[in-house]
Amino acid sequence: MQTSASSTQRPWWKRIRNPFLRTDCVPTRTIAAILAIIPFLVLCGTYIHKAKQRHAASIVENDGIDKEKIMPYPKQILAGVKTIALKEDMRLKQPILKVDTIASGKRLLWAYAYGVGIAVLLGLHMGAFPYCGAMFGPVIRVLGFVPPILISPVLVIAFGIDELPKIMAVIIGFFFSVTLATYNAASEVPMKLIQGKQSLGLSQFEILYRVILPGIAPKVVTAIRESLQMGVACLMAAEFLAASAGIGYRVYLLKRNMLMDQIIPYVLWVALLCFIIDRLLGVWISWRYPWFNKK
Amino acid sequence: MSNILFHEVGMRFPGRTILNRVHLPVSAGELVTAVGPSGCGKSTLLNLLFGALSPSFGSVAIDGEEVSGVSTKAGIVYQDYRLNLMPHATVLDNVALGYEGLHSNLSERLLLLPSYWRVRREARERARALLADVGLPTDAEKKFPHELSGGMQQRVAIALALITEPKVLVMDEPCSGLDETTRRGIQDLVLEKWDGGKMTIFFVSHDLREAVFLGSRVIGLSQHWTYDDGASGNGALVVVDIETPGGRQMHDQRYKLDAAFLDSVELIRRTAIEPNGQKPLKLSERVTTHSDAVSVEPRAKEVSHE
Ligand SMILES: Nc1ncnc2c1ncn2[C@@H]1O[C@H](COP(=O)(O)OP(=O)(O)O)[C@@H](O)[C@H]1O
Ligand SMILES: [Mg+2]
Repeated sequence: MQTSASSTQRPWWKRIRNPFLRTDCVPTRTIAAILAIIPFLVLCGTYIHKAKQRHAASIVENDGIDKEKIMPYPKQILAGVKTIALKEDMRLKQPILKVDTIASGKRLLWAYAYGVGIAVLLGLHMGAFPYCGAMFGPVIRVLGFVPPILISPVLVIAFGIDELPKIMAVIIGFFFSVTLATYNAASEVPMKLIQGKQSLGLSQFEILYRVILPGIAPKVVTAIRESLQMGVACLMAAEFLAASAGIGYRVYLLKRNMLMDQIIPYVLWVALLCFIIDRLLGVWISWRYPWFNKK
Repeated sequence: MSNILFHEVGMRFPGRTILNRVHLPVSAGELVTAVGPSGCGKSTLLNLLFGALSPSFGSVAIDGEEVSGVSTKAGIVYQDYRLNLMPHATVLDNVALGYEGLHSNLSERLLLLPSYWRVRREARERARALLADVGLPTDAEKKFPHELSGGMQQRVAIALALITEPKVLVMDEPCSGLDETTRRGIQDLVLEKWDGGKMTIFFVSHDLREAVFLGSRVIGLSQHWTYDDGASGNGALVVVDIETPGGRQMHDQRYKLDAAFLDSVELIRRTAIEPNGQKPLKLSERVTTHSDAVSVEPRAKEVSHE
C-alpha cells in the first residue's frame, strides 16, 4: 500500500535489520495469539495421527475389533469428559470430577494456608537478622534438595491415609523454595535504606513489617506463584498413594482399568486449573504492586 | 559548643586505613562541604557521622553526645535516590513515616491507640506542607517514587530528611546523579533550607565548584600526603579546612575574593581533587584558615603501626 506520505519510507521488510531480536521485531497481539496456538495444533495433530495408526493396527491384530485404549480418539475423549462430569461418586452422590476437584483444591488451600505464613515469616527473619539466617539458612537449603515426591510415601507411612499426609506433602513441596526466595529478597534490601529508616526513629519491628516486608511482597508472591507447580505435583503424588478422593487418586483408579479416555480429561483439567491460578496471581501482582520491577 | 565533633577519628577496614586521625569540630549552623577524589573516604566520614559505621579509633559526637548506632539526630540524603525512599510507599507515605517514628512511641503505633491516629494525621499534614516547601507539585504526593524524575525524588528525600527536624543534615553527593539544571535546583534548595545557618549541614561532594559554591566551610580530604621527613602517610587527612565567603556571594560578583582564598581553592584542587601526578602534600603544608580548625599530628601509635 503506497501512500504519498509513506512513499519516502522503505517497506517494512527492508526496515527490519534484525528480524529476530526484540529491537526490531515484536509480534502484535493477534500474531502472538496465532503463534501461541500453533504448537497446540501440532500436538493435537500428531496425537490424532498416532492414534489413527494405533487403532488401525489394533483392528488388524484383533480380527476386526478395535481394542486400542492407550490413545483414544477425540470423540472418545469427549465421551470420557461426559462420563467424569456426570458419573456420580458412590458415597457423595455427586459428579466425580466435582468431588475430586474440591477434595484436591481443599488440600492445596489448606496447605498454603498453613505453610505460606510460616515460610514467609521464617524467610523474612532470616534475611533481616543475620543470626537467624546463619542458623536456618543451611538446614533450609539442605532440606530443599530432598526430592519432595520421595517424601510422600514416608508421610503416608508415618501419618496414615488421613488428610494430614497429603497436606504435609504439599507444604514440603513449596515450603523451602518460598522460604529461600523470601530470605534472599529480604537480605537484598539495601542496608542504606534500612539505616535511613533507623535514623527516623523506627524500631526493628517496624523496619521488618513496614519497610522490608512490604518492599519484598511482590517477590514473595512471585515465589508462591512459582511454587505452585511443585505443590501440585506433590499433592498428586500423595493422592496417588493413598486417598479416597482427589484428582491424583482418581487418575490412579482409572489407570488400573486403562481408561485413558477419562484420564486425559483429568490431566488436562489439572493443567487448565493451574494455568488459571497462575494467570490470576500474575494479574494480582501487576495490579497490587504497580511499582514492582520499575526503576 | 560544637554541634558536630570528629574527635581524632581513625577508620580502618581490613588491611587498609581509610581515615587517619581526622579532627574536625563543626559549629552549629555551618554548612560544611567535604571534597576529595573518589575513594578517599568521604562517604566513610559521613557514615561515621550518622552512625552507620563506628570508628576504629576516636569518637564522633553530635550535640556533645557520642554517636553509637544510627543516630536519630541526623537526617540523611544519599546520592542514589532509590535508597532514600521506599519503593512500595507513595511519596506522601514515605515522608509521613518519618514524623510518625519520632512523635509516637512503639506501643501507640502497635496498638493503634487514638493518639497514634492523631500523630498520623499530623504527619500527613506536615508531610504535605514540607513537600510543597521543597517544590513538589501537589499532584505528586500520591505517586510512587519511581514515577518521579531523579531530581524530584531527591527533593522528596530532602523533605523526608527534614521532617524529623534534625539538628544535622547529612548529604552524600545528593546532586551527583543529576543533570546540570536539576542539580542547580537541588543546590538552591539546600541553601534555602540552610538559610544562613538555621541548621548544620554536612555535604559531601566530589565537585570543587559545587563545594565552594555551597559551603560556608570547605574541607578537603586526601590520602595523598607525606610526613615532613618524607615518610609516606597512611589514610586520609583533612588537608584543607577553609572558611569561604560562600558561592552565593561569588555568584553575585559582590564579594571581593582575596588572593589567599583563591590560593586555598587552588590548593584544594591540587591536593584533594586532582592529586594524581602531583607531589604529595607535606603535612606542614596543610591549609587551615577556619577558626575551629585544629591540626592533629597523625603519627599516632595505633594508626601508623599496621
Ligand atoms: N565496608 C568496607 N569494607 C572495606 N573497604 C571499604 C568499605 N567501605 C568503603 N571501603 C573503602 O574505603 C574507601 C573509601 O570509600 P568511600 O568513603 O566510599 O569513598 P568516597 O570518598 O568515594 O565516598 C574505598 O577505597 C572503599 O573501597
Ligand atoms: Mg562516596
